[in-house]
Amino acid sequence: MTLTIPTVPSLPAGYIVQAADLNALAACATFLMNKPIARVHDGAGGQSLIGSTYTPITFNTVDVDTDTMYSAGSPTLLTVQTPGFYTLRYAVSINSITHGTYCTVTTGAGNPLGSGITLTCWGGYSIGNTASCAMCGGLLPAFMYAGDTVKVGSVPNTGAVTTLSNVVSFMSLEYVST
Amino acid sequence: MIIPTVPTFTTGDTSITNLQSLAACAGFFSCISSPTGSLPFFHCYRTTTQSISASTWTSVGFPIVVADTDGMSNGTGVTVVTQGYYAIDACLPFTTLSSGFIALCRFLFTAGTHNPHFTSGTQVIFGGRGSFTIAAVGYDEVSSVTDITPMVCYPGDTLNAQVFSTVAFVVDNVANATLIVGRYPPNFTGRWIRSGT
Repeated sequence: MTLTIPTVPSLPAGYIVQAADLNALAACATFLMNKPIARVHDGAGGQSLIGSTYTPITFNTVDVDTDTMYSAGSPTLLTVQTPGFYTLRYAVSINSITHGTYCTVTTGAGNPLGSGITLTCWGGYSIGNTASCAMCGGLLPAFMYAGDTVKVGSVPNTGAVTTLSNVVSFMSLEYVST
Repeated sequence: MIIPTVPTFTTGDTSITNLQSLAACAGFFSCISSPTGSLPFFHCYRTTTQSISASTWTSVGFPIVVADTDGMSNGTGVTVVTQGYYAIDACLPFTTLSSGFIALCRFLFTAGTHNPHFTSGTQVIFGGRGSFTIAAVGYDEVSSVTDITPMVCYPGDTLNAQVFSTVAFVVDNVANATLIVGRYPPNFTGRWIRSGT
């Protein structure tokens, strides 16, 4: 599903406003009330991570997904459906291993730059002991087109597993602007 | 705050009520004061220490209100007034009381009596940031946590920022006099981001 981004009407002086103009304004409000958001989390834990290797985190539980950004067939990804700028938030919780994390954006076929271009951003870090949960988030530093994907991954110092202890891994996207 | 109803206009429509409803929508999203209110958001913080017992998840209090457009602050966290999804953030500086310990932070949702999806009192944890700190005794650490609520919040639901450690420690903003005093006190912020049922 791709939400239609409403067009804000122009209402010059002397113009007789039509119902369509006002409904177009109303559509803007409706869009803001119902803008795309998605949040998924790791409800299973136990995903094996290889030492010194970036492994995308698998998310198997959907909390909210108003724009069909998540697909169970690609459980490491959120796929943008409605073009725009998005805010990412995530946490990756693993066992006692120190790890770094970051987000990877990959362009899809609908991106004018072409598909398969990657951008990494928003790194996190956590020193391991009995728990190690890195978190980060912020505005994705590129305009996102329909089909672009977002994933987050972990690079542990040594082999590790995701855990549900205390805090669980999650990833979310919030549409913020055209 | 009442989420405005988006009106539908028909040809020849002369309803001032519809126009006022549209104005209410603009006011809601403008984040400026309007007769019908603005987007719910809050910013609270604290300037005093709060002692945290070992191995006990504890809600941090944020008694000082910088902004609160919807009357959400309850002194500790916030109580939701307007139904919807919220984006929330917390900054939690603390003082180390030993040379190395676990420090975790997260958010806690507690359902109120008006939430149709949860029994009153049901708690859901979300967000999360945790690490082992190796700082020497008396040094400052800080964790920040951000998330969107994984559920629709209803009036009466509460949201809190919590901390945990394997040893007793102090949430603090004044311990390290040379570095961070007054620069990032414990903060708790949030805003309504979307409608939901």
